[in-house]
Amino acid sequence: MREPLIEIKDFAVGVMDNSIEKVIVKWVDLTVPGNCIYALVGGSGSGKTTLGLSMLKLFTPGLYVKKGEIIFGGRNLLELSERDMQKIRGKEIGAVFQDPLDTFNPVFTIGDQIEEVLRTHTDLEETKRQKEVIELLSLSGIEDAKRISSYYPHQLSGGMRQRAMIAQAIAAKPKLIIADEPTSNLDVTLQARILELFKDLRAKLNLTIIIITHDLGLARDIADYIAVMKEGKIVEAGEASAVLESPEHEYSKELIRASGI
Amino acid sequence: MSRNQEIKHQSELQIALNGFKRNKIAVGCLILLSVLYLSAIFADFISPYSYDNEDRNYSYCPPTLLSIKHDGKFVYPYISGRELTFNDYRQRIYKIDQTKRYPIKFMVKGDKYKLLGFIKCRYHLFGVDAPGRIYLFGADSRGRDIFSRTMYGGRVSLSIGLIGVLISFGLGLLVGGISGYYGGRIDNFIMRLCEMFMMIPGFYLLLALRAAVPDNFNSVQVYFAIILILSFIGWASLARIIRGMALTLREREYVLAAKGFGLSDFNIIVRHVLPHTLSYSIFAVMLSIPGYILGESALSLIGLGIQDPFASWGNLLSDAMSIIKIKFAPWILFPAIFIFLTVICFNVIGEALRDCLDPMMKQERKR
Repeated sequence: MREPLIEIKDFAVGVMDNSIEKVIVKWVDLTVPGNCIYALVGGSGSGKTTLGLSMLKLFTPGLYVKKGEIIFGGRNLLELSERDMQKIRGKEIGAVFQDPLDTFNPVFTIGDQIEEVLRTHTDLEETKRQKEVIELLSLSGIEDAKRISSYYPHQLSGGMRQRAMIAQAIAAKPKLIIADEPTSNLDVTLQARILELFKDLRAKLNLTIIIITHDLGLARDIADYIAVMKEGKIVEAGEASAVLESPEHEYSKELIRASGI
Repeated sequence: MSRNQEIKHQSELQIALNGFKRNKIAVGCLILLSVLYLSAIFADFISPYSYDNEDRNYSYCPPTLLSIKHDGKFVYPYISGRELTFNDYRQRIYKIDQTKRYPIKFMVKGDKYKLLGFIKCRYHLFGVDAPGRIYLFGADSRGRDIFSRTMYGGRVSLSIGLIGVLISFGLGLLVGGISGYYGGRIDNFIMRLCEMFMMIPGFYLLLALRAAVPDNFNSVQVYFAIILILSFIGWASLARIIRGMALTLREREYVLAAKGFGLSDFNIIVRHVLPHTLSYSIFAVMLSIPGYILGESALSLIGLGIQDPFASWGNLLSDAMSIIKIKFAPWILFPAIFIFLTVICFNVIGEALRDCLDPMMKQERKR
């Protein structure tokens, strides 16, 4: 196995529900090696999104860490202050969210919002930033990037928005990208193209990408490693071919049957 | 096809502006308001006299009427001379003296002033040659031109509204944004603080705060003190509403995304939360400006605001507090018309902006 990029050890997230504690992520161990595509597969409510966003230390209100460590770049993210986390988010770990119509602020242009990330994390001057934005958009497969960068989010199609979102995620050259259901709102052909883009970017930028998805078929197409989650636990993890061809856990078998692979 | 594209590229703002333009009354009000503001900016040029130019021979002189007829013939507009006499009850009577005629002149040399604060100038838009005096709105007790003083007073009264609203809205937006964005204990603390401010009746708080200001302040200091006092009272209610909006806005996906990209909380509040409250804030600003103008007028009216000889609309009206004066010199109420017009204009514009900025209202109107 290659050098681990991010390591999650004995990690548990809980939430208080009517003064009864529910554990959403249950004592999970996960090691993600560098420069790979890791798919986190599971049904709805399996805790995969919570686990994914934990790596950015983003928790929806009410959630809290019960236990564990997330080691990234030699540091335990869970112990870092909010201020230190701000330097890691976007700069070291980027994120691609599910629905880019909601994740872009409707009152600013696409270019403006990508530039915002650069403004936060780099010392580039304004003209250089704008150039960089256009380059990032072209890198994410948007033709006519200059025009698109002056568009507002609602003026773009779903596929375009997702590409722009990816451009925003890679803007500050992070090592790791966490993509939460990046293609679930797109049609099949667009989905395939976006996945191609991910593969492409991984090779070009030496990225590690964690894709959170419910679609095992998607994971098969793109992932080097797969972890299957059920009810907050990782029931099976390993190289994609191993998990897909000889699944050990009952739930993995069920998933494979259901997705008709 | 090209037409379709044009429509597509209309921004929300343009759509709102078009909606606003359709409201003819509001456009009229906007024009009137612009005229009022321009007249305040160029007050020293438009008014024939300086605010403290007095002539006690003309105490409570009624408004001078422009005459264009003399001996049954049309002539160049002029004003007649006036002579002060007293009737049996020792009341002032100004008799029109037809033998003295002062034609209206433009670009008259008069009191020195600095146009826009830096151009030295002594020309006034109109006036008459001395010893004649032109009183469009009549004169006050010391024979000062109420028209001139109203123009000068507009500077104080109109600017206090704008500056006051700027300060209190800046404060309200920021405090409300912080309160709503962080939630929890910070929110609780800030909101209880706001309620403490809102609990005290506004006018009494105004008086109490004014009492806290040293009474040896000069007029400029008093001016800024009043602005601060007014904005100090105004921010709380806005902060509450913005806080409510921020509470829902912080749940938006793009706020989470912005956080995920490492933006600081302050940046997120300013760039990703507050802009969405803007359509509400804009008309709320418009609708709250009259409050500041009236607040200043109220303070000046009871003698706690701008002091004589400096003029503000409220200060000018303080002369009109006794019924006898109003009865014999009703023209001292002219500044009240200006306050009235300004307040109406801001309200109409505010309502019109609400109609065109608030999508919910739009649907209701269609129904």
